[in-house]
Amino acid sequence: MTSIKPFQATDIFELNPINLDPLTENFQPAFYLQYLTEWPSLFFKSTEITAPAAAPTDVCSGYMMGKTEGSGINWHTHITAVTVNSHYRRLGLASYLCLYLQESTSVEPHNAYFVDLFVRVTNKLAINLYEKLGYSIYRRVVGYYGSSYPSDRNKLDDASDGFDMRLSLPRDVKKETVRENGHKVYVLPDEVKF
Amino acid sequence: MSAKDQLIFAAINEGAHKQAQQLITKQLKKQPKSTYYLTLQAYAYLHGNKASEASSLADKIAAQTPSDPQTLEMLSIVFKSLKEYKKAMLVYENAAKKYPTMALITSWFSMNLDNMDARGMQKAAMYLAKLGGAKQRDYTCYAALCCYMAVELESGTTELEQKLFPSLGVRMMEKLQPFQNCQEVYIYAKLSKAAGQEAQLVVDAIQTFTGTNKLDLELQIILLETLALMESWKALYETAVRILYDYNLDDYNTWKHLITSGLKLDKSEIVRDLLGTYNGKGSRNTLLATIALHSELKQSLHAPVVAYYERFGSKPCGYPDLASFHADEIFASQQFIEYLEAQKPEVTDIDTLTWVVNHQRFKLLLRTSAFSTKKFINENFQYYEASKRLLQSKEKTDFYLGDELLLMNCALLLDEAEEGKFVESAAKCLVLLEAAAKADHHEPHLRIWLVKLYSFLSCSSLALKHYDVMNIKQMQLDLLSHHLLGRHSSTINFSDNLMLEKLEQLNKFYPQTAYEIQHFTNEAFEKGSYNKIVLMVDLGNKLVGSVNKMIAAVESIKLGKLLGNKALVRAGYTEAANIRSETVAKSDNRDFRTHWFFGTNQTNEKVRDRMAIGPKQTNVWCQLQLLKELLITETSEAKVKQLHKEMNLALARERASPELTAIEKWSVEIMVALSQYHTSKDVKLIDAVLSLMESPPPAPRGSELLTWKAVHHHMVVAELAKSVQLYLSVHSFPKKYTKVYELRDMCGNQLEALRDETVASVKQGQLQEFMVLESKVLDWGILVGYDAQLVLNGIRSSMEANVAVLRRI
Ligand SMILES: CC(C)(COP(=O)(O)OP(=O)(O)OC[C@H]1O[C@@H](n2cnc3c(N)ncnc32)[C@H](O)[C@@H]1OP(=O)(O)O)[C@@H](O)C(=O)NCCC(=O)NCCS
Repeated sequence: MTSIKPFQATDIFELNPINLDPLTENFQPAFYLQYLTEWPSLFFKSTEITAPAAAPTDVCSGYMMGKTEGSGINWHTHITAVTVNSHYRRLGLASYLCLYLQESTSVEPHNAYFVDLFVRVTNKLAINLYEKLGYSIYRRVVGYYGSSYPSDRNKLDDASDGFDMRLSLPRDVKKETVRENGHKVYVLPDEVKF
Repeated sequence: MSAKDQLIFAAINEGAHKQAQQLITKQLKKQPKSTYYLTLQAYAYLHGNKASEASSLADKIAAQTPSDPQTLEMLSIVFKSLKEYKKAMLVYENAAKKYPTMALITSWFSMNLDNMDARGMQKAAMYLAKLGGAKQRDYTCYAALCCYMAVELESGTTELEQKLFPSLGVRMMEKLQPFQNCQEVYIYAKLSKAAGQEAQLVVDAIQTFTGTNKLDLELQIILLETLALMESWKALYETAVRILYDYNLDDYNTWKHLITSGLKLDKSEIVRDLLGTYNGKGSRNTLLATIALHSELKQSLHAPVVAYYERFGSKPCGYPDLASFHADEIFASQQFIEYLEAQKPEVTDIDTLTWVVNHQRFKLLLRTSAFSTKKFINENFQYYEASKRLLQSKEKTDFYLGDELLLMNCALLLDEAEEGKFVESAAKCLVLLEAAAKADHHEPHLRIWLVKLYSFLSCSSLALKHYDVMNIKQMQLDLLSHHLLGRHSSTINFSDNLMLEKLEQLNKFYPQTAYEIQHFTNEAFEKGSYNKIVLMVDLGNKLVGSVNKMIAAVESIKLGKLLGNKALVRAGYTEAANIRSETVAKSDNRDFRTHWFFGTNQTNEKVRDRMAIGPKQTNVWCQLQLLKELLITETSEAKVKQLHKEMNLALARERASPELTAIEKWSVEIMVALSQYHTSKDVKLIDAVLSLMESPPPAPRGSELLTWKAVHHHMVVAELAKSVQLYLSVHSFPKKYTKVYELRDMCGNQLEALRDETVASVKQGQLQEFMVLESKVLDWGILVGYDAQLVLNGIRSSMEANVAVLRRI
């Protein structure tokens, strides 16, 4: 029984069941607060009513941290983190959170040209998720997740490379913000800053 | 800051008090009227341990109502350090009344913001709104929001203010109409509701602002709630339909509103139809909402329950979703269990395994007459075995529901363990959990249980190993570190540096996070993200008053003393004022729930209490421990009197709801009696001390020797003996009080005995108990294919390490 609600600062107290997941980053409080402050409507959560019903309580089943940035045709929505409580996976929840972000930012006051995100090239599961939602690979960011800055954009490494995936929104009428065969385009992390 | 001022601060910080005073006097000669340098002088007194001089000088400066921001900031720091919080705030308030300049008011506002003081922010923001200027509209929002926040967070507002502020805020917001963004509408809506205005005004404001655009999520929720409150069923129904269909937002909260309003409008059949056909064949939300609809109509839940289960019985949510309806009297438990029995699949893949685990969860929840614990435990073992191969094909980081089978068994084994056999059950559970964790490295519930059980058996390095797998950091430190660090200065191998690091990590986390929250709350005002501010301030306050933080502070003092680590002791004392203050709202943010999210999702209170490391520690425990520490070294009679007063209050709270273990209580009582004896010289008190010393609560025996209790008992006794020795060296007693010497000898003997006979007897007793334990647990691994000897070896080596610690104390 999923409801969607705005994320609030004290929700950070409720994230253990989600953030104890090994693939979910547990950020410094400042990071969550920055998103709440700068993009208050793009940080939201899904909640469930949990058993047993003696005292039905809301639990947070997932959340989306998003932002808007860039200029001109690069004005876009970025998915910073989307994650789902393991007891509520494979129900379409992550897709639901992505769709909500996409729909709310494709209109005013945001009106973005596209949505993008970074994902490890090895995170097949998440890549599947985004492909199902219509995203495609725009470029491969060499060394995006690495601990040192890469020197050569042609030196691929699955362990540290990420894909920049994109979905164009209705404002991008000519579909200029996406391309085919993006997985063959290699860039360095500095080239993906907005 | 000028170079001269820098020199003054450097001298103060380095403890060069004389030099600092000289430098300040020099400046004062040049500028005799400078309230700033006078304030610096008070500040220097404070650091030179001259609190009363600092206090009277600060009062004198305050009486002159200084107004330059630098002086005000410094003066309020001095008052705050003197725990004169009200005076610190008054400094600004009085200045603002006399000289309401923008610079002064903004620094007053920031000061209150840094203190997360909603009432103070409200006061300052009212001035900001009055001064207005280029940011008139923003400042009006600040002031109005602060009116709401002061009421919502109940921060020091009077009853009258609780009534007054919302109307005041509403009036300010009304002047801003038409609203320019959803944040303004939000503030207005919140205030209007709090002021008890006609609800239609909120609806109008939201609708006028939104027009034909899509509703902002926050406003959407407020609108639905307001319409429901007004019993405006038609509008509620239409709004719900708009959200569900026009926005295509499948939101359970909205479905509930649709059901409520639909039933009021006699549209139950239409609602049923909508639920059944939403996006083709309905969704998880609509299937669950159909159950809710049946419940409202008092119709049997069985058919919609089965309809839901057919689609979601093989998803982990199958249990929690449905169990939220089970308390409904028309939930046909027996019929549902029969349905589940009839459908039971072979475990062949993750889906069938999930189905079976959900089945077991329901069996445990519904406990029909056929339920047998023994049979249930055996079934869980069989299912775990039968599905184990699935663990090999999953990604290491994927979630695996099958672990719940073993967790359910652990909770049952611990629940049903006979008196005296709990340790045996705990060790058996450790074997199961180690096996499960080996096969599923990242499962956090298993790890928390391992941390708790190893801590219970006083195996601190093993508890630490499992804790570290979870990579606990940032806010999780406030929420989860208690599993590892509860009563740790008296239960762990305290010389373990890794444990020490955990405590230091906590001591760094709190001030850093407090700073971050201040910074971003300020940013939220600047950027007009008003709907996030109230709970940011709430978060700030919850961390300031965090129980976990206070426990860490007390533990830092105690552990720092044991280790001779002065920095740690100092870090602990920095928090001491908060612990003593009655006014600070204590906030228990600790997470006692997440590790119970398995099986029925309910906390088994009996098991929780059985494996706890002593009674739950909150601020009473912290206060008693801290006051005890302060009593040991305090020599000023007036201060000791104050400490006694606080101690009596804390002890009364302790009697009402105990937080000390028996031996901790004994130790506090001795310290109190001894210090009372010092002030009153009443011989009855020294007799009481001596007789308490002679008869401490009984030391743990039997299988308890293998638990945290053994280490704890002897550590507290040793710490008390040392504290008494320290007390007697700091406080002088005239020679004729001969019993004091008796006491000193007694402490010496006690410590000596501890190092020799006690340790020897603990060691021998533990060994005997361990042999018994080993014979009971050794075979247990066969059930899950794990070598139980590994767990036993761990327990044994921790036992030996703990004895070595006792010997060194
Ligand atoms: C990735 C994650 C967010 C997916 O959440 P979710 O709510 O289960 O995802 P959805 O139900 O919306 O899945 C949509 C599609 O993604 C794919 N997918 C999701 N989980 C999958 C899995 N475990 N295995 C294979 N494919 C998977 C499937 O194609 C799925 O569609 P389907 O269920 O119809 O087959 C969740 O697993 C998670 O929180 N993981 C940890 C954090 C993380 O990795 N975040 C992504 C970082 S970019």
